[in-house]
Parts: sequence; structure tokens; C-alpha cells
Amino acid sequence: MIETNELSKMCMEIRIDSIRMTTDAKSGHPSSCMSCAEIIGVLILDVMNFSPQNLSDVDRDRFVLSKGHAAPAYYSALSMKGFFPREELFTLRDIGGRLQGHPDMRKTPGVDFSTGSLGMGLSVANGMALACRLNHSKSNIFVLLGDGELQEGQIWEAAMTSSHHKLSNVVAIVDRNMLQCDGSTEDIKSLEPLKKKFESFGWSVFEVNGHDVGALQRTIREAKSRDDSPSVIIANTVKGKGVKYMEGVCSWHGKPLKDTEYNDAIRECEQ
Amino acid sequence: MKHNVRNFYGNALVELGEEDQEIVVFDADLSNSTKTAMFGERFPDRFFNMGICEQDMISTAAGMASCGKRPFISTFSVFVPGRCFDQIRMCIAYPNLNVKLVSTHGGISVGKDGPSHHANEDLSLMRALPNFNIFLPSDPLSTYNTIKAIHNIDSPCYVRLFRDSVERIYDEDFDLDPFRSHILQEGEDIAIIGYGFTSHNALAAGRLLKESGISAQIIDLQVLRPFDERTILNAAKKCGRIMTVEDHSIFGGMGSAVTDFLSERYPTPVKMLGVDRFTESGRPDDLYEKYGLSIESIVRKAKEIIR
Repeated sequence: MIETNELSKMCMEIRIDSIRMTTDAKSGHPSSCMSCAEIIGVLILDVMNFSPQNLSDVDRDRFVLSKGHAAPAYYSALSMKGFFPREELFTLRDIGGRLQGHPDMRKTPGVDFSTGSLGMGLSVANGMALACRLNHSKSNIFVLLGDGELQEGQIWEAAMTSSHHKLSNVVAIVDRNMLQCDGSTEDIKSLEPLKKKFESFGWSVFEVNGHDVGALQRTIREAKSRDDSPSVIIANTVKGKGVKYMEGVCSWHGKPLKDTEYNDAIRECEQ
Repeated sequence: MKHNVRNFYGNALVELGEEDQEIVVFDADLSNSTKTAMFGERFPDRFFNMGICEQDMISTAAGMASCGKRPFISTFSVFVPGRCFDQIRMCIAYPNLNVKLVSTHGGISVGKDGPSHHANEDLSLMRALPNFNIFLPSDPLSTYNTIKAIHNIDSPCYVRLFRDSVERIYDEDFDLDPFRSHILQEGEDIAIIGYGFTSHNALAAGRLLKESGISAQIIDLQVLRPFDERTILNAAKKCGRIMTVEDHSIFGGMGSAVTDFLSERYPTPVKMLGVDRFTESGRPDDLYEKYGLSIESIVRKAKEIIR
């Protein structure tokens, strides 16, 4: 277990990397990465039994980034973990590169599944969990869901599958930043009461401040230790977290920063 | 004696399940019709009835494949790929995972259930996806050999089965290669290409044409990708006229594939028989007659072309 202060700094690096990468690429979804920098950091750098050395280990953990547009944050964490050199981060979205706009398991070392079309990741995680069960493996399967993508019907098909098969090795984390492309999730198609929805689908539900690294470390460990049901952690987050003028502002979805905005943003994050 | 080809699919699956512990089978509440229930009875731990959730089924199976399992997935051709195309594209085709889709009840063969259940677009959809091989077995041996053979391919495959019971085209002991198209009758006036159920009607039509003095080469396509270029090219060169007969839309189906190929390699007139509209409820034989796929329709069209 990494010491919380040190891990917090690493998560901030993920946030800064995501801003740098998307600015450099002149495309991508910086604010979607900024809301889940801590979640991805705590999972990949701390909680998960997962490294370049143990990829073929049947008991290693797996991760599905169902909200595939947060790929820059994922790539940043994978490079910190040693899956590829840091310099490669700045080839994001370049032709001929290994870092596609959305995760590609065939191109990027460390990526467990290709994503990008929303709503599919929980089903994929269930499939991995069922395979692990057949293999008598002790793996945990983590899946990061965007809150907007919970509007996809497939998510609820999958939520039934997880509980029907009592897939207690599945831990879903919802990046509950309250915003989607066109506005507030509650205005467009409300998700609340989200906790009750998951509970009624047979899940153990946890709630946490998704930017509190220590709380995430504790809660994710508690969730993965449940052995009677799948677990979901509703991580309350702020889209664009870390840069005041981006926080909670919907129009930053899918919009990279301009060079002048970039300098201010990095300065603010580094403070 | 007529046979239900789906039983041969079920038998092949059970045999594969005995040989290979990594095989898992998925269905979406149609396992008695698709015959995956045969596998489910024998290997309940490796059989997953996902309920009426085709999208979840595809992505779950793909997740399993990413961990080294070898899934077979079945439901009706109208639902796979139609109901879950994006999941097939994103979770199977794009990552090129070893998942086998075996759809049953293709085309208008479901008859009375009507157009909501007539699968006339599945091949158009599947042809658009890179990485997928596409197989169209025609009889018991063709079905059995295809299922056994695709198990040895480490890439996605789509297999389309049909509802009607059929006579054997190939003798049980014939050494049938499922990766080739097969000439069922030699001829030189016209080449008629069928697949699945329509190969039977094409063959019967070919025999009738022979009685009228027309020499038709009859081809059972069996496999759409990898496309058996040599057999089709030779047929075009020998006959100079092609007619395709398919229980599917003419927009993007087998006829289109043949035309795509020949227009580049050896431009040849091609008449495509198939549907071009939403169909209707009815007995399969009546539907085949009305929509131009019956033995008599094929004979009539061939005579028109040759005159």
C-alpha cells in the first residue's frame, strides 16, 4: 500500500499529464480525465495486483476503462507503472502511434480491453470475472464507469448478470461527476436515486469522495473483500477537478485547452 | 430423410466441449431452438444462458475470450448481429478476439413469425466488419465440419444456420472442406450459386434445367469469407453468366460479394435472387415462391437469362 500523501501527488501527476497530452494532441477529453485521476491512480498504482511483470499470472487483477474517453489518464498511470516510456505519452492520438484516442488492447501494453463505445465495460468485466471463476483464480476485476454511460441499457443488463452470478470479484466504480456531453445527467435523463438502483439490482453500494485518495484506498479495498455480491462505489467527483475555470463546466467535455489556458491550468495544478 | 442442421451444430458443440475445456457457450433464451441446450445439459458450468440480453451476452463473452476462453454464442440471425452490432464491432471484431457467433433461423425460413423475425440483413452487417470469417453451411455434414473447423481458427467467425430441415447434399463419409465452395453439378450455360437452404433449391433447379437442355453449374458457396475466388472465377470464365440465390437481402449479401469480386477480376453479368423489401408471414414454401427463391422461380429466371 502506497502512503496516501505520496499517492496523492502521483494522482495529481496523472491529472497534469492528461492536460498536457490532450493539449499537445489538440484533441481529447481533459475534464473527463481530471474527474477520475484519483480513481485511476489509486486502482492502477496502489490497489491492483497488476504490473508489467505479472501480466501472465492467472491471479493478477484486471481493469476495464468503460468510459474509454478517459484514456489519457489511463495511459499516464500505465506509464508510471512501467508499461511504456513516459515520452510516449505525447504521441497520444498520433498516426502510427500505440496510444489511440480510446484504449486499444492490441496496441497499448497494459490495456486489458478495448473500449470507447459506452455502456459495454461492465459486461466485459463480468465475462472476465466468470472466466476467473472457471479458472479458480483469485483475480479482482475493476471497471470504471462514467455516470453518463449509465443511461445505456446494457449497463443494467450487465448489472443483473453480475448479481445473478454473484460476481463478488467485480468492483465497479462510478465516476459521478454529474455531467455528460450535453449537460447535467439529472437534466438530460436522471440517474438518481442511483444508490437505490444498484441496491435493488443486488449490489453492495459504497459512496466516497472520488478525490480523497485515502478514502478511495480504504473503500476500494473494502469493496473487493466482499464475498457475497458485486460491489459498486459511487465516487462523487468534479468534472475538470483541479482547474477552477474548468470545474463543473460542461462545455469542457471533449475540448482540449489552448496554449494560454494550458499554462494557467498547469500552474494551478502544481500549486 | 430430412435433417435439422441445428442438431448437428449441437452435436459438434458437445464434442468440442469434451475435447477442449476452454470452450464456453452463450445463449439468450433460445437454447432449445438453437440447440445450444445440448451443450448446456452436458456442461452446465460452461453454459451461460444470459436471458434476453443480446448486447450483454456479446460483451460478456468477449470479456471471457480476453481471458483465454473460447466462446460460442447463439441466438436467432435476426438478433445477432442486428440487436448487438456495436458490441460485435467493438468487443469482438476490433480486438480480433476468438469468439464464434452461430446464428440460426436465417432469412425468411422462419416463415409465419413474419418480417419482425425474418433475418435478411445479417450478412450485409457482418460483411462490413474486418477480421470476421463468414460461413454458410448447407447440410448436416457441412454444418458439422464447419463448427469443428472454426474451432481451430484463432479469430472471430460468424456462422449462419437456417430453420428448414433438409436432405443431405454430401454423403456422411465425404471429405468435405468447409473452407471451399463446392460444385454440386457441372454445367456451362450458367453458374447458379446458393448457400445454406438455397443450395438445395439451386441443386433441384439445376436438375430440372438439365431436363430442359440447359446445362447449369450449381455451386454451394459454403463460405463467404475467406471467399473462394478460384471456384467463382472459374465458374464465371466457363459459364459467362452467374445467378446468385440467397435467403437474404440482395443489398449487401452474397450476391453483392460475388458481384464485388467479379467486377474487379472478370466482369460477368450477375443476376441476384433474394429479397429487396420487408416480407410477410406465411409458410416458408409459399414465401420462397412469392419472393423468387423457390425451385420453380430459379428455373424460370435461369431460362429468361439464357434466352
